[in-house]
Amino acid sequence: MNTSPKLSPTKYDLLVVAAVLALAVCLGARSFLDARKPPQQAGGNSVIISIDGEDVECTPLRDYSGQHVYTNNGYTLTVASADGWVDVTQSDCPTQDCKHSGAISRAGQSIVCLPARIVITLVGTNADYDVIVG
Amino acid sequence: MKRFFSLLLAALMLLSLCACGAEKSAGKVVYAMDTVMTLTAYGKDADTALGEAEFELYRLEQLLDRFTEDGEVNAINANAGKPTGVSDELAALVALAQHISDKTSGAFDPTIAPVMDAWGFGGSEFRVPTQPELEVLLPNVDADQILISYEDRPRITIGTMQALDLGGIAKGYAGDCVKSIFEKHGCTGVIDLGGDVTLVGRKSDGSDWRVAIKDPYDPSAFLGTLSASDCTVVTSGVYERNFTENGVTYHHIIDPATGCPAESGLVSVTVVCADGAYADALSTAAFVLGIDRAAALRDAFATETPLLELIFVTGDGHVLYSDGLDGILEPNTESGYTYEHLS
Amino acid sequence: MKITTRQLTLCAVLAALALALSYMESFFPLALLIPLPGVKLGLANIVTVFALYTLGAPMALCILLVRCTLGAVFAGNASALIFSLLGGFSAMLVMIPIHKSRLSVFGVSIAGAAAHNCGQVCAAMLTLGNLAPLSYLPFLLLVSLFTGALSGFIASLLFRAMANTALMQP
Repeated sequence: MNTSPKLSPTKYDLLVVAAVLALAVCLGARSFLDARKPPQQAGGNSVIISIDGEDVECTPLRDYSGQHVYTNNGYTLTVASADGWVDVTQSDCPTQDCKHSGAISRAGQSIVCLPARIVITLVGTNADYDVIVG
Repeated sequence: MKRFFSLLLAALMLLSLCACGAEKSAGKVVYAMDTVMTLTAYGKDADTALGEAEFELYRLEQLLDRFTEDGEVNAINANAGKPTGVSDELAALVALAQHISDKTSGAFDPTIAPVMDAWGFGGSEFRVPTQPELEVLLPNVDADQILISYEDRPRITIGTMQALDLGGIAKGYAGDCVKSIFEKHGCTGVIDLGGDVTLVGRKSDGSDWRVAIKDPYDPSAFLGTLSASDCTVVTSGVYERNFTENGVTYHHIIDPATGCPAESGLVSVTVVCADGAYADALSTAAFVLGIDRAAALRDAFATETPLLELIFVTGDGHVLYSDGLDGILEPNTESGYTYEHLS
Repeated sequence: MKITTRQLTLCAVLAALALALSYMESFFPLALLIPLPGVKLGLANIVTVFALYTLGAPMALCILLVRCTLGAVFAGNASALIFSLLGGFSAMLVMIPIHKSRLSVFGVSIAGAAAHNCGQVCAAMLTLGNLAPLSYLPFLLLVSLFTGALSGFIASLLFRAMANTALMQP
């Protein structure tokens, strides 16, 4: 054998766990702070559509209601928005991850469609409610 | 042997990993009943529940919408004056609508459609109908004239000049139907049928759902936030649909007694009720009845639904809420309203 | 460096095993439980860890390269190549210097899994030209603690089971 591995966990393994946790927390804190930045539009979230890495659209969420169709990289996505929610309702991409990732409503959430290279991101303030009535 | 055991253990580890059913959530936007519906389900079978819910909503739209060809309500209206055979489900819902109409002294009425149409709230151009026009239409706004008979199958007969419209109860009823689908699949979630919200169970962390109630004067601000579970929250407000003619604003909540927009001094009523169909119908009724008479609804329906709470917003900036909402309704202190208990 | 027939054969067998494990992974869609893009068990990492200890870093790298390339060819998906290559080489980059340290296979495997996720997120950011995938990384790292420990555990079982077999003797 080239090198004989240690087969039972050692206390040094905890260092690795701690390092990974620390990295996760640091990165998480970064995203969290980002999400707490002042909203670009007072009084609500905004939708940012990025295609091929370019932000092609930035709309206040409340003006984004209805259906939107985006085509890129040979794939077409239909994005529906209502009541503060944004959802990919149709996609002809092979993975369908974007469709399955469900509707998003909170600042910091995003839907990524890798095959179509489209990212839908919500930015703004974090809401302390689940749903709006009225 | 040892090797086999190790492999077995590894395989079991893999299997246990698959079974550790982390909470799954899924959302769906459905266009039905003239509105955009947002369904959010949490649970292992969330996707199945949502698929079934979407199908159910299309079915209910077909069943309940009076403009859908081949729909049962459509058939009843086309056959006015004569008995029309209907499904048990529709007969039960019409019976409930009639019952609520009766107990609210007609403030909710499923036969208001011809008057709504005269105002253009049925989908055509808005206009103010003349008094003689209303006088012709009003005698036919009377849920008592609906006859439901059950011989070999349920049959519904409406007056020759009547039109049945379940729009005031359909979305709430749909919320109940979707809720039972969620429950059948062991899911919790939020069913938002275009502003009528049905809550299924609790959040996955065991806490209540947070329902923000729109400020009727500023749709981007909130009146307050409700913490609730397993109930339906419906708001009826003047801001939803209205039009202005000659400087007068006419809203879409028509008082069946006068045939004109209800003048109860209210701008919105929010009903929190265990039952969606009741919540939907009673929000309209409470708006028409006004604060004093609507407050009596809680006692009137106490035996039928375990939970019935009301929030009124008056034209002069007061928010009045029933005492059952203490600790549940969290007022928005920045809204500028005065919050009080119903006396 | 002289490659013995035994080493070459072992190399090929391990590459095939890694490919098979990557394929097998699709039957355990972890992404259904944890809905994050890129979440997977990383079973092929067991082979990498095993090869690293038994055959050394150069051979392990060869196996990785063969696995990634053939995997992309079989899947008919060239864009997947950059993901598995960046992920795999990041994992290697971290595991090679630490595999002879005081860490056990668990620590090495967890570090590898975490690095693999970092590499994949880098690949996603490159492909999309966007920082958005970075927001998934904290969660992916947490998941990698678990998947890394799991593959470390399986690797340790493997070492125990193989320790006295003729296959492992030089």
